[in-house]
Amino acid sequence: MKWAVTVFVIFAVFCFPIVASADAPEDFISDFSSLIPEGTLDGVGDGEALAEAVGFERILSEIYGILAENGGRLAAFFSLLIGLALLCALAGTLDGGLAHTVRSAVLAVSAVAIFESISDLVGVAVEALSETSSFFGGLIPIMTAVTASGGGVSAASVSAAGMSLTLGIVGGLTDGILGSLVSAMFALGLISELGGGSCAGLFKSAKGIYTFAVGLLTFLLGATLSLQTVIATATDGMMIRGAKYTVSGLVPIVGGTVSGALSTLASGLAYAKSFIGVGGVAIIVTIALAPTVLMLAYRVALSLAVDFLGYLDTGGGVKCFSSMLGALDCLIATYALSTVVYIFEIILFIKSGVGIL
Amino acid sequence: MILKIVGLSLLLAIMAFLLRSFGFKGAGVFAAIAVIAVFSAVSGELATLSSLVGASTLFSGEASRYAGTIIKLVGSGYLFGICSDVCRELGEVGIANGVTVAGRVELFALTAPYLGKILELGEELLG
Repeated sequence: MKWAVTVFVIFAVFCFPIVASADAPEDFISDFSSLIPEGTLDGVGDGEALAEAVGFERILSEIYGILAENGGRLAAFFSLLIGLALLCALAGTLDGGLAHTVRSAVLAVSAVAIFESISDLVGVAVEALSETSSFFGGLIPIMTAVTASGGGVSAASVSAAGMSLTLGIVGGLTDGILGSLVSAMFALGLISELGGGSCAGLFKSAKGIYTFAVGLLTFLLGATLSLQTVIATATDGMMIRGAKYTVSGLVPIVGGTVSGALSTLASGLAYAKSFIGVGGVAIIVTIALAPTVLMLAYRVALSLAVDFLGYLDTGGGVKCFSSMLGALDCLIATYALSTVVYIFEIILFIKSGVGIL
Repeated sequence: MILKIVGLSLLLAIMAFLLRSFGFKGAGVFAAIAVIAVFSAVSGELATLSSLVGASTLFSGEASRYAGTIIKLVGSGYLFGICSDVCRELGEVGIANGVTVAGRVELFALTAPYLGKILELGEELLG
């Protein structure tokens, strides 16, 4: 009898806070709704609306909207590139003693013209990543509370520590390194035009180093967090289920009632978890979509211009445009990888499940 | 215009050939004057090209300024190149080299604001 009382007490300690906060799922969703940045998931109040909001059609329509909004700017940039390519080819027709000087001068002017058109992309990317970091920072307490309310006390502490670490590292990389790194790439690209060289190889290396560092970090964080979360969730689930089963058997009426209440609560928490997780990913994707689409569109334009210059057989122009393309590639890769780390963390939260279920 | 230029060039070439055939010592000077005359005939077309590029839809707003500078650079390159070639044709290698150096200085002067801008932007980005 003594051990039965002990089990009951453990069960009560574990489950009372859970049952006492029976209206928690709605509260969590409400907390999450207050966190949604303006213009991202407007008017999404329930699962059905959220499912519609994350649909393929909506993403396509968002992409179309972004392209339509920036169509004029993109067309102007593409026209500028084609015009500069033609003028570079015109400069290439010159021969004699001044040919090299004219070509270098034309490339220097072209580099400034291209850079002035794409320089604001660095700011846009850094700003979007800061917005994502800030949103993710606000999401951590909600995700931790949902996990803890589902009986996953150990899982909650593990994931909270992991998410805070991720936020710190990625936020630090974004604020301290990303902007400076990409700016340095653009600066080197511009300055290399003075010497008539190309920094494409250097950009490739820098991009490789940054993506390798963030990729390794993601792998290590992902692997350790996944393992820790799996173990912690299993431990929490085992303790709660064991206690639930024992109490249901030992205390027939009360045990059954509490067990039923827990199941109802677990369903609510599973819904809240999915809603918050999917909503979180959708918001991060929405924040990241505009800069990503814009950067990719600029990249396509630059890439086409490089091909066009290759067709015109303008070696110097190819080098100049490739330098800018390399810097832009570096920006896209680092930006995308930093965003993916946050999405990965939220997916881990969704997949960790509810302890009491 | 094309026929005029071609006709003028052929006429001047025939005249230079005849002068050389009759042993005229100033044939080189005549050839130099002929080059200037032909180039003067197309200078109007060059101005049209420059204004066309400036007004082109390829370069809108601020970009037309860059296009204008590039046209000036290429045009100057051609002008100094032709001038240098004419001097070389007349046997004045020293003057030809001087013209090339002057061309480089002129090209540098045209590009200097952009080179300054590159250094300024680089410093701004790295700082």
